[in-house]
Formats: sequence, C-alpha cells, structure tokens
Amino acid sequence: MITFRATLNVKIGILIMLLSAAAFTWTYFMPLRSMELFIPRISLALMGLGGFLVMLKDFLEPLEKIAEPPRERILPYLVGVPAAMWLYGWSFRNIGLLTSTFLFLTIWWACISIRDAKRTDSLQSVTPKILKLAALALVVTASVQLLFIELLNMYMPRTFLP
Amino acid sequence: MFDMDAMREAFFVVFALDTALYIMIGVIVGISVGAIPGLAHSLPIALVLPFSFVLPIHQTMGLLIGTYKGGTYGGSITAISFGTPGTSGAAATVADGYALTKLGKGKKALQMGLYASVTGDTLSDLALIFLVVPIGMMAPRFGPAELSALYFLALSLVVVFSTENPGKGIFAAGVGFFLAIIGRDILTGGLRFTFGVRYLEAGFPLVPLLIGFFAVPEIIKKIKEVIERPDDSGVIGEAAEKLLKLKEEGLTLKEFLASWRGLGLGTIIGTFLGALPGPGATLCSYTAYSVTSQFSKDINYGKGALEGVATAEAANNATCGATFIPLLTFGIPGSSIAALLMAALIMQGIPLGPRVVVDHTVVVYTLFLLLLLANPFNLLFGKILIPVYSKLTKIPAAILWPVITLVLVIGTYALNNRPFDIVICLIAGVIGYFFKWFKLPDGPLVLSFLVTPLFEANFRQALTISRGDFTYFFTSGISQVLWIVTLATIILFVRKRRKTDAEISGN
Repeated sequence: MITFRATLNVKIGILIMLLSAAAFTWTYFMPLRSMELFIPRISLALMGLGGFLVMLKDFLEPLEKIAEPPRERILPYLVGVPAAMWLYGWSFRNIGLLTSTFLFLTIWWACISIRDAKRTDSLQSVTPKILKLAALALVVTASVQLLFIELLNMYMPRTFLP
Repeated sequence: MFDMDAMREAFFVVFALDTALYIMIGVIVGISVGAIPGLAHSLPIALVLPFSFVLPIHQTMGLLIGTYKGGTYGGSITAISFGTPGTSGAAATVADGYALTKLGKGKKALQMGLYASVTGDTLSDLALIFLVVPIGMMAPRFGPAELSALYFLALSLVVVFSTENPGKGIFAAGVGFFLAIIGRDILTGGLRFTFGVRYLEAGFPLVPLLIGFFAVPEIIKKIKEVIERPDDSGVIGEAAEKLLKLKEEGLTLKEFLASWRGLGLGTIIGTFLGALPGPGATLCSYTAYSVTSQFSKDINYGKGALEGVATAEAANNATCGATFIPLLTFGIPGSSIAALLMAALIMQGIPLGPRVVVDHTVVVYTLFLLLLLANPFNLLFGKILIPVYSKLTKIPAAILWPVITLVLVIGTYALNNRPFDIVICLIAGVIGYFFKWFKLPDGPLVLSFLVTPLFEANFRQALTISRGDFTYFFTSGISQVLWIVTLATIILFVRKRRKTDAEISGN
C-alpha cells in the first residue's frame, strides 16, 4: 500500500524530479539540433526517473526500514574545505609554491597543536612541538618542489616569492 | 606459426642485466607516480618516450612496460590506504579497499591488491601470447551497433548491481551521463551546457573529476573529524610511538584463494574488454566489480571484502596485456597509454599492423617476454612499498590529510597546468559529498561518464549508417547476443531481488 511520508529522501526525490523536469523543458528552448540533445535528454530523464523511484521507495517501504541520510552539521566544512583548497591553488600560482606550501602546513599544524595543548593543559611544551612540525613542513615543501618542479617539470608562473 | 629461433633470440635480449635494470626503473617510477593522485601514469610514459631515440628497443620497451604496469598497480595503493584512487583505473578498488583499511585490515587489502594485480596481469599476458590472433580477429567485428549494445550492457550491469535502491543507481547514471555531455558535440561541434565557460568547451576532464569525486569528500570528512573529534583522529606527537607498535596481519594464502571468483572474473572481463578499443581500465574494473557482486558469496562485498579488491585490481591490470592485442594485430591503440606505446614502437621503426607478427617476430616475442618479466618486478617492488603505505595510514589525520590535500591540489594542476582543473576537482568533490551523504552508488556515475562519449559516438554513427533505422542495432549475431545478455541480467537481478526481499520479510 502506498502511504505518503514527508521523509528527507522524499523531499530530495521531489527536488531532483522538479529540477530535471525544468532542465528537460529548457532543452526545447536551446538552439541545438534534436540529435545533439538526444543524450542530454536521456540523462535528464534518467535523473528524473531516479528521483521518482527514490521517492516511491519511501512510500512503499515499512516505516522502520526507511534509511534517512544523516542530519549532521556539514555545511561549514563543505564550503570551508574546498575554499581552502582553492585558496592554496591560487596562492601557489601567485605567491610561490615553496612559500605557500610551507605556510599552509605550518599554520594548520600550529593551530591544531595549540588547540590540543589547550585541551590537554600542556601549553608549556607546545613551542618545541610547533618547531618540529615546522621542520616537517619544510621537508614536505622540499619534496613537493623536488617532485613537481625538478622531476616532473611542472609549469609554474613567475612569482615574487619562491 | 611458432618461431623457435626468434624466441631464442628474444629470450637472450630480454633476460639480460640491462633490460632488467630498465624494467626495474620503470616499475619504481610507475608505482611511485601511480600512487600520487592526479598524476596519471601516462605522464611518466610520455616523459620517458624521448628515450626511444637513443635506447635500443628492448630497453625502451622495458622501461615503458615497467612504467605502465607499475603505474596501473600503483593507483590502488592510495585507493586502499586513503580512499583516493591514484589512477582512474583504481576507482573501483576504493569501496572495498578503503573499507578494509578503516577496519584495520589495510595491509591485507594492499597485499590482495598487489597479488590480484600481478595475477590478472600475468594471465592477461599469457592470453595475449596465445590469443593475439583469435581475439584480434574478433575485435573489428564490433561495429557501431555492436559497440552500442556492449556499452549499454556495461551500463545496465552497473546500474542494476551497484545499489539496493535502483532509483539511486539510475539517478547516479543520469548524473554521469549529464557530466559527460558537457562540452562540444562529438559530431557537430555545437556547444552543450557549457554555460558560457570557455574551459568547459573541451568537456568535463576525467582525472580532476575522479580525484575530486573520491578524494574531496574524504578530506572534508577527515578535517571535520580533526576539528570536532580530536581524540578519535589521533593526537600529534603520538604518531612515532604508534608506528613503532604497529603490527598488522598480512594476507593468508587461504584468503587469497578464497577470492578465486573475483580473480577469475576480473581477469576474464579485463582481458576481453581491454582488447577492445575504447573501454579502458576504469570501465573494465567497474564492469568486473559489478558482475562479481552477483556471484560473490561474501556478504561484505562492497563494504569491505577482499574479493572486491581482487576483482577490481585483477580487471584493472588485466588490461595491460590485453591493450597490446588490437595494437599488435591492427595497429589500433585502445587507450591513450597504448597510443604512447605505439608511438615508441613506431619511433623504433616497427610498423604495427596485421603483418607485424610475421615481419618483426623477434620484436613481438621480445614484447611478450618483457610483459611477463615486468610482473615479478611489480610484485617485488609492490611488496617492498606495502609496509610503507600501511604505516602511513596510521599517522594522525591532523598531520597526514593536510599533506594529501596539498599534493592533490598540485597534482590536479600539474596534469594540464590548468588552474580550472582545480575548480572542476572541487565541484566534483561537492557532488561526491552529496553522493556519499545520500548513499548514492559511485559506479554508475563513473561508468556512465566514461561510456557516454563512446556510446553516443557509436549510437549516432549506427543511426547515420542505417539512416535512422533502429532495427540496425539488432541485426548482427554479436549485438543480438549482447542484447539478450542485457535482458537476461536485468530479469535475473529482479528475480533475485524479489527472492531476497521475500526471505527478509519471512525472517
């Protein structure tokens, strides 16, 4: 028996259906030949069908068998981590590979070490730890330079710092 | 006809210290570069290609074949250890391999990956030697209609087998289809869904897509873990002590032999599909992985089974030998790497084609022996590197993952020296995270992304040949068999699903 349930799966299923239906309709207003749009339309139809089946499954399954996606706080990481990765990509092309790699690693490790030291109440021993990690960052930076620039001849734009 | 004199000559050329040295260098370079996400193993092959001008053929080909085999295996190391495939061919290894690492069985998974790679590779080399002529004769019989049916079969298999919720599989395949059609139309050159972005005109690049799709969600997860649950992710400073104490159990012979189904199916499918121009290692490993899921008795298949690693890796490496079948018999390079190997042979003055076995018998036998000899080197250096990688996984996440993240960003950029690839990688990462969060299967997306350009080209070519007549797809014997297999597989799957559901309801 079909029972309507407003689960997260159903909501996402409906959203997928609406988006693919809108995109499918949009293809009829595109200045392309029908053969050029054949596979795109199949892909959009498949997405819509998938969304419908995802929704239908939750209507047909007994309530206890429905597995909902986890509801955890992820958005800050989903935005923050790719943004940091993009920033690193930008910085090694504009500031310099050695400088940006060393700075990124050292800053991250220093922050984590200070936080751990505060948590475990061992702030007195944090400076040598950070120095050791800075040395490790230097080794990683040198390895990156050796591998990508010296060995693999990766193209690097001219930058002010190394 | 087997030529004993030519074989003797090839034997003495190959089993010499200089050749062994070049194979060894190739394998080490291949494994090392293959294990770095973003650096496809076609890159070192391209880098060593100019040596063809100065080195004799056995040394050049030893170096190239060693790099090819080492690189094909090397991709699985990071796939198993960090859930990030080093090469696209190792993407199917991630599901079971990384799940095993998380269960503390990383060493077992790495060893299985190595042994399955070498087994699949060796058997595929033997298949090349014995079947080079018969398989080579079959390949050109696959015209546009047959290839369309083959690609449809591969896609159906992955969609129906990869998930317990067919809706999710179909949606994932739809996303893969959509990403693959972005860019210029393959026949008319019209721009499709590029949204005015110039860089997208060349299409959605495969390697940044795969790196982002698999690695970025894992990076996000690990960084979140480091920030929110520092005790679970390992405290900086405890690493050395932990590493010294580390003693992980290795793979037993019994466990290796228990995966015979996966090894066998992976090798057969990898060899067969690898012999056809186009499919490539990624498609082979995903198809083999999906097919084995129906025959495997391991209830953990897909969630951390050694058989899953064995299947994907055997199929991935079985393409190494099989790639040479269309190359040697018809001069058709089945992949970009095959094209590089072909270029090296042409530079050595070897015209590839149906007469190469007759006109250059010694060279062909030399290639056969080099392919076989590279396998023990792959095994040896793979074994040497496994302990290093299994220890790396025990380093606290706060230290290890930032390094992986930076190498990944540089690796993605280094591929084409194009900053836009980093953006693609990050977009793919967000898509990958949605897939992980919503528990969507990755196989249909990757496979449909790879198959769509091939499927579309063949499908439209077939329709052009038949002037729009769809019955053309069912006229030849090969395509009829393929359509019947597709239909039978879907029916079998539906029946099996109903039976399983009935059993679960009964319990």
